[in-house]
Amino acid sequence: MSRPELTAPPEIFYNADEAKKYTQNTRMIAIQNTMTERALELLALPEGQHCFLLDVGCGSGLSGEALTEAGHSWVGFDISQDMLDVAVDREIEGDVVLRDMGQGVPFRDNMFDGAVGISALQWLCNQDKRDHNPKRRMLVFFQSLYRCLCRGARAVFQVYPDTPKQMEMLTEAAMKAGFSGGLVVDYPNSTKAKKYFLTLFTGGIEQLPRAKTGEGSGDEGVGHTPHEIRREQARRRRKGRREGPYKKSKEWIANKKDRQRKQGKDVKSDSKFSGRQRKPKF
Amino acid sequence: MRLITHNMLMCNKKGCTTDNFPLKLTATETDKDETEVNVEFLKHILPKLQWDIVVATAKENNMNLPDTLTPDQLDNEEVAQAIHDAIVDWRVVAGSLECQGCERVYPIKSSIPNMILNEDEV
Repeated sequence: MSRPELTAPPEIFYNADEAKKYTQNTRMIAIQNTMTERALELLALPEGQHCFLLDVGCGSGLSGEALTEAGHSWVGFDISQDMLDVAVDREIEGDVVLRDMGQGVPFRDNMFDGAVGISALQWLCNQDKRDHNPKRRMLVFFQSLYRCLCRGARAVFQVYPDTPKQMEMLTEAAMKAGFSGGLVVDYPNSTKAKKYFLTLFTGGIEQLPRAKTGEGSGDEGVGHTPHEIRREQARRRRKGRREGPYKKSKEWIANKKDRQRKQGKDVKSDSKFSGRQRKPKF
Repeated sequence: MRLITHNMLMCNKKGCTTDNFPLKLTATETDKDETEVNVEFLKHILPKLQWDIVVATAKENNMNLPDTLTPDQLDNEEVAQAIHDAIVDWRVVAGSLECQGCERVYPIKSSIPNMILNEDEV
């Protein structure tokens, strides 16, 4: 997996070329869309209400589009001018502001019913300039975010942490700023589908939403603890092996001859002795 | 940038704690979108906005809004349309925002306000 965070600071990495990808690459768009939808699910906004949301690291407005589709209004900010230019060109519904999240959220108190951030927060872990202090920038960000959110509102951030230590730092900064909540890991057993959602609450202690595991139809019952998952996988492997006849068995030979006949090869005719088990020899 | 966003933005330059809201808006180029009025959304967002500031900024830019607002007024289509025009449809394409506390100027280019602070301002 490539790590854009390691190549250049965000305002330089997300240049005009990179921004173009975010409007033309359908795979990227689809991924952003599903992640935003999942984030919205975790936000658990009141049903049927038109809410006002904050999009942290809104970029070219892909996540914003998903928010608009879900029937909400939003305001976003991002550090890359090129990405925001694309957003404005695409005539997105929300307003966008150029801002570095490590400098805090520049909005008034109690404005938002929720906040989302898709693949943005991991950039905070980097020290791109001499006077950047990741820990302080995280704290400034979370403190100002806490201020901007309404009481009881949630904030959900999809993150690609490089190391467990980074995740620890982010969570710690969020808790220090007054949030409760924690990490929801979707599809923990898959390398590709695994997604981290930092789910933060402003109001008191709440139950963390359950992660998706992709097993079972209703996502309930079997396959949540590690040993259950292992047992399930072993069962599947056993089942897989039973497909088709055993090698060198009568059926297997018949199948093979059939196949070769279809290929027009010279094949011995079938008789009652074909594939017969021989007597043991001494 | 729309008036709704202007009503939320504040300056948080290092040491700037008084008079950092509202930012003084100067519009040199404006534009107007045409979108549908959503009364539900207006009812939801209006209690959060500082109405006197909305009215004052709108007036500076030749838009007239009622000085005081009650929720029942929004059921009147004309009033709802006027408010929608002012806070959602009307957009500043170019101009600037100035903090009245520390006099820091934030430029607005291609309808994006640049709120990034310099290294010595954090």
